[in-house]
Order: sequence, then C-alpha cells, then structure tokens
Amino acid sequence: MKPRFVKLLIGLYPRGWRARYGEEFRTLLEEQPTTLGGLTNIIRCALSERLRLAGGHLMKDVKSSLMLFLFAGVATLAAGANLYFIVDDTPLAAAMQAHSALAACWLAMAAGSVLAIAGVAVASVPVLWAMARFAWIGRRLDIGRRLAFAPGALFAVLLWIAGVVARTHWVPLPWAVTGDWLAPTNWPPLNVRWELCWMTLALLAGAVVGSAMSLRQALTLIESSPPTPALAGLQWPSRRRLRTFALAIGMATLCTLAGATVGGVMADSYSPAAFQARLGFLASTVLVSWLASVGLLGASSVATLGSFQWAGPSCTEPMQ
Amino acid sequence: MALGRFSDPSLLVLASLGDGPKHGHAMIAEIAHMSGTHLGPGTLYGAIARLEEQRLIEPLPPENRRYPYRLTPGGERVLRAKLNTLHQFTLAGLRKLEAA
Repeated sequence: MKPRFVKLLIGLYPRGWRARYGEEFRTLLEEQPTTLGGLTNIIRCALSERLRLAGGHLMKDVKSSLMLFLFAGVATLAAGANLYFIVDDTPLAAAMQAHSALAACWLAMAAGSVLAIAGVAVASVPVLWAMARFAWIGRRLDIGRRLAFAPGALFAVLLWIAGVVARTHWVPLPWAVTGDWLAPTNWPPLNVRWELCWMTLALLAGAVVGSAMSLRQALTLIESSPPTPALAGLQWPSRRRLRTFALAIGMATLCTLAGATVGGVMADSYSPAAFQARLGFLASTVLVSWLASVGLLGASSVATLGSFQWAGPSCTEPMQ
Repeated sequence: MALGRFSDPSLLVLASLGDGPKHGHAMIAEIAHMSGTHLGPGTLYGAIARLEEQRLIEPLPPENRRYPYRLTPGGERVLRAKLNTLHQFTLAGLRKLEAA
C-alpha cells in the first residue's frame, strides 16, 4: 500500500491505539497489497477499536445492542418519514412514475425501511417484555415507571397532534408549515403553524431523549439488582442472536441508504426544479431534506453494523 | 481447507508464535500456511492488542522496522491448554464418526 494511503487508514484508529501500534501497523500495511477485503477489514477493526474506547466493551451485550437497535429504528423511521413527505404529492412523485429506475430505488428504500424497523421490533420486543416481566415479578416500581415512559410519551405526542387537528384542521408536522405550495385557507395563520410545529418537535425530541434515558436507567437498575429468583429467571437473548439481528438490521438499513442515495441522485437529474423546491422538512429544499435523511440512514447503518462488529470475535473478543 | 468462521484470531496468533518470535507479516503468512485462514491486518492487530493486554504475548525490540512478538510463559500455558482441549475434542469427534 502507498504510504499516504496507509497514513489515512491508520488515522481511523483512536489516538492511544495509534501511539502504541501505529508505527508497526504502518510497516505491516506498507508490505501488504491493496485489496478490497483488506481495506474493509482495517476500517471495520478501526471502528471496533473506537467503540471499545467509547466504553462499549464495558457495557453488557444486551444493553449496548438494545440501545443501538432502538437508535437505528428511530433514525430509520425519521429518515423514512422525511423521504416520504418530500415525495408524497410533489412533482417528484410524477418523476417516479415516469422513470422505472427511480421507482425501483423508491421500492428498495421502502422495503429496506420496513425490514429494518421490523427487525428492530423483533429484536427489541422480547428484551423489553423480559424487562417488564422482571419489574412485575420483582415488584420493581422504579423499573416499571422507566419502562412506561416511552409508551406514555408516544401517547402524549399523538394526543397533541390529534388535539391540534381537531381544533385547526391542520396536522402540526414540520413538512406542512409552508413551502413552495399554497396553504388551504382553512388552516391557521403561518405564525401559529410555526409555533404549533415547534411544539410538536419539542415534544418529539423530549419523548425520544427521555425514552432513551429511561430505558438506559431501567437496564442499569436491572444490572445492579441483587440476585433474586426474578433476576435468575430473566431471559436475555444470546450473543449469537444479537449479532444476527445486528447484521439483518444493518443490511436492511444499508439497502434503504443505497435506495435513497441512488434515488436522490436520479431525482436530481430527472427533475432538478423539484429537487431545489422548498418542499422539505421545516420549509427547507428537497436537497437539504434528502441529505438529512441520507445522513440519518448512514448513522443508523454504522450503529447497527458497529454493534455487529463490536459483539463479534474477530477484533475484540479476548481469549477465554 | 480454511477454518473460516470457526477460527479464533487470538488462538491463531498464539499458535503462529508457538515455534518462536515473529512479526506481523510473518504471523499472517504462518497462519495462512497452518490453517488456510487469511487474517486481515486489522484483525491481526486487534488480536495482538487483546493478547498483549492479557499478557499472553510480549513485544521484542524492532528489527529493520519490523516489530516481533513472542509468547509469554502464560501465553504458552494457555496455548498448550487450548490445543490439548481441541485435540481431545477432535479425537472424540472422529471416534463418533467412526462408530456411526
């Protein structure tokens, strides 16, 4: 490999690792031929070292995987909703009907999103059920309250949206405030729409952050629980099962990411005016909204595939 | 036949050092020769870092920009124990096949 390229690859590793192994790793890489497999291996292992440094190795498998899966699920859901709203009822939908390649990208994106979210649900529900059962059997109200936060917060957000719709005949979502389109006359004034939309976003952000914190706390409380029959009866999924889910969810998210990336590039060439129109999130252009979705999907893929790699034996597992 | 996904990088690295110190490039070649498994450079150094943390291997002074490693007495003990277990396992598995 060329020295400049080697330097770039070694730069992917954490600083402490580079200080200890950088020089000898450089010598080894300079003697190696450049292959796709070798490059993938180095990038994967650099990510694994970074996750270890971030404390991933200190956390229980279940705790880390569950948090990463749920992050991936929320990120994919948000990215998918954003992509749906920038296409639905816009000139991009017409472009999609006219070009089968673009429609195929959309289909790949939709299929990937559905599979990823289904994977997250299938992976998470048994874990959440086991936690709820533990809280119930052990009479642990502190854990039960934390587990109840997420459904409660979701219910509050839906109640808010339903209340606004009932009062104003307008759905307070960030894609429906304003843009390059005419708002119906029976909608509330623009400044009111902005206020209601920001309120929805604040509620959503509170629900997501609060749910993540509550769930993490519930897992920590279970981890530090004294040994009781309820704790002994807690059935966590096996490491192998977590790895399988991480790989499946990661691949589905990658499929969505590929569909969104290729579809976006095609949409920009087939319908450039629509791609620059303000039809996106918070009245942004489609281009900005699309970039945001692609970024979210990329983060989601890294999180799940990182979880797969982190839980795996090739770079991190110590000798038994 | 390559061991593929059934191979343990840490065990492969320990085994490659069984007959004396080696640097990274020589370890990769030795592992490929022994087991048919081509260890990626990232995986090799991931395993080296873990094994060094566990004091099963130790670095030696560099020679011509190459950094050799050798087994520690603890590493030799662990390698021997692992290989003995695998040997017993292999014999038991073969006996079962022959009996079938």
